[in-house]
Amino acid sequence: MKRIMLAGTVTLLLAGCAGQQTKPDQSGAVPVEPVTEAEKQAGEHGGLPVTSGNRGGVEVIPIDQQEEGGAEGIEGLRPDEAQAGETQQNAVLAYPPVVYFDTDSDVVSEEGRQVLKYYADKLLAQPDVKVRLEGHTDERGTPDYNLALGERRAKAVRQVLELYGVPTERIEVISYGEERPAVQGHDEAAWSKNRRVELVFIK
Amino acid sequence: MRLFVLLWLMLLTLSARAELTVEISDAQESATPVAIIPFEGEAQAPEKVSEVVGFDLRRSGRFRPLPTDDLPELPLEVGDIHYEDWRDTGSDVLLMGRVDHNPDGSWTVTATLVDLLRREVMFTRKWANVSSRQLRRVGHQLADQMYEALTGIRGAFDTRIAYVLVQTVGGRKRYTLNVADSDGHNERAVLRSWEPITSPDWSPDGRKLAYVSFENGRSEVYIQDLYTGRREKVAAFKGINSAPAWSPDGRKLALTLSRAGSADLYLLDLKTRKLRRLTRHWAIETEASWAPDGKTIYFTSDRRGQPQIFRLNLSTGEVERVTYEGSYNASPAVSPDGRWLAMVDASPGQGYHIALQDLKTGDFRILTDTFLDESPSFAPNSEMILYAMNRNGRGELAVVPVEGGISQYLKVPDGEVKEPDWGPYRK
Repeated sequence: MKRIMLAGTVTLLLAGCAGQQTKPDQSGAVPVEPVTEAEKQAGEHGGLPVTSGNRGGVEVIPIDQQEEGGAEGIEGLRPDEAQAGETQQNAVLAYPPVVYFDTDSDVVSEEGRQVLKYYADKLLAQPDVKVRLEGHTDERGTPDYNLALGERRAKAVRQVLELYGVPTERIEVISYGEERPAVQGHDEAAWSKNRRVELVFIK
Repeated sequence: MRLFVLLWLMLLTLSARAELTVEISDAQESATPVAIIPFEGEAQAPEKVSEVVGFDLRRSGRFRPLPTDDLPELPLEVGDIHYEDWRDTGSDVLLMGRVDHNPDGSWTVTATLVDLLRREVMFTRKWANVSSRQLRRVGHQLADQMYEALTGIRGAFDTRIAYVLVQTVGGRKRYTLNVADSDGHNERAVLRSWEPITSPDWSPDGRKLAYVSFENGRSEVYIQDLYTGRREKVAAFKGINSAPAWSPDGRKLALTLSRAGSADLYLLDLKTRKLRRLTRHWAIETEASWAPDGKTIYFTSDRRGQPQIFRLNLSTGEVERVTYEGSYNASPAVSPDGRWLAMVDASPGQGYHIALQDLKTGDFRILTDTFLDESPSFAPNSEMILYAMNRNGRGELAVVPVEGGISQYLKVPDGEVKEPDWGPYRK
């Protein structure tokens, strides 16, 4: 039986890349997107949703001491449209690729370990796939401390994956601190969904 | 290609007119009344200089300019003042002035501060060859002079702030690093990105900003010259690169790097580019803030469990704990006069607030009662603190005088503002 349950976070991450944003409902499940390409790819990779492409593009604007003010007449860069290669997360997955944490904590829970065992097995079955662990925090507290806390969480997840046999060279760790919340909101319901490490699979 | 750029430009202009709006709170009852007479000729000028002065004095928290309607008279010359009429106003001083338009299009601003009790002129100032764009700065400089004449403390109104603006554009988050006057006017973007920008820090000479940019998919530290637009990536090591903090002499940059395993403090010599490791601890060490003598760095560490503030003596390497109140203290900011330590403090059930510790006596008090406070930054005269908070579900900035009581809010109608840093005195 196909049970497609997507955590809001994952859908936001990938659906956002595809130019849409869906909001999670109370249970964390989201409407299913109609997919063809993704299912095909899922079949190929045995279920690991592999992403590609960076979302870069910055514009530097010098202050002209003679300038009036405001930012008129500035030609902007296009946002990176290299989203074509990204698959939508729609394969048959027992768990969304995300681990959640308690406030100020980097301890991986029992539940988290189950999720990581599942993905460790998948990674071991597909030696050409790497995993990037993206650490996040909720918005409370200070941004720079949270950047370090996010990294600590990602490293804690890395440690568990290594214990389950995933080679270190295939694991990348990165932190976004409080900068990329999965859920907008200023209460515990939102915060609990933002204290997380996401697993992103790369070929 | 040109059509595409044009479309993109339209998208930018349609969606990106953020416009920082400023709200100045009602003055505290304890604030000192002052009388500011609308300047002669300023109604014809693009900026009302006397209003700039009035807003500045009010946002300091110390002064309460009397409403124009409540003024007993509107003298234009010192000789026109009827001193007895001013006795009941509560104001001991009166500011008057004029704004003249010159044939070449520039302006001349003259202002006089009068002591109403002694019935004498405290000072007269004149600014010549002022362009329209500079009129507000004249107001700020005049406010600074008036502030110093009345308090003995240098004013910090002729200053700028930096902050990050976050907006949703076409379904995506867009980040802009902005610089504005400290009263919120003259906002201008210096960097735009589709990835987060955080942690801006002004150089002591006011010409550059250091900041963290995620434009390459991870945290990296840049230094950008605001006037040339030239940027330099100064830290892109393995792990996190964050929390840049210029030394008071502008020669070094404190940084948080986790290249050796856990987040630690490092010092980058900007001339030699040599990196010196300052802390060696498995815990998180971050958020460096320099004492004004350049010999001590305050920072956040969770080596005792939850984050607290510590300080490091740069010559001896000694680390000493500074905060003991509250279960969470982070983001230290030392006042430029070295007297205060501002920080974010949290205790269970009490939320995140800006707190102040007297570095001499150890006295500690919570300064704010806003929501989700973070990123405190002192004005260069140590009298006011700019910080980020959340109001009505959105990120805004607020200014709180060191005595307490928020005096100014800054926000945008269609986005959030956060990560503020108060710039140095302008040259």
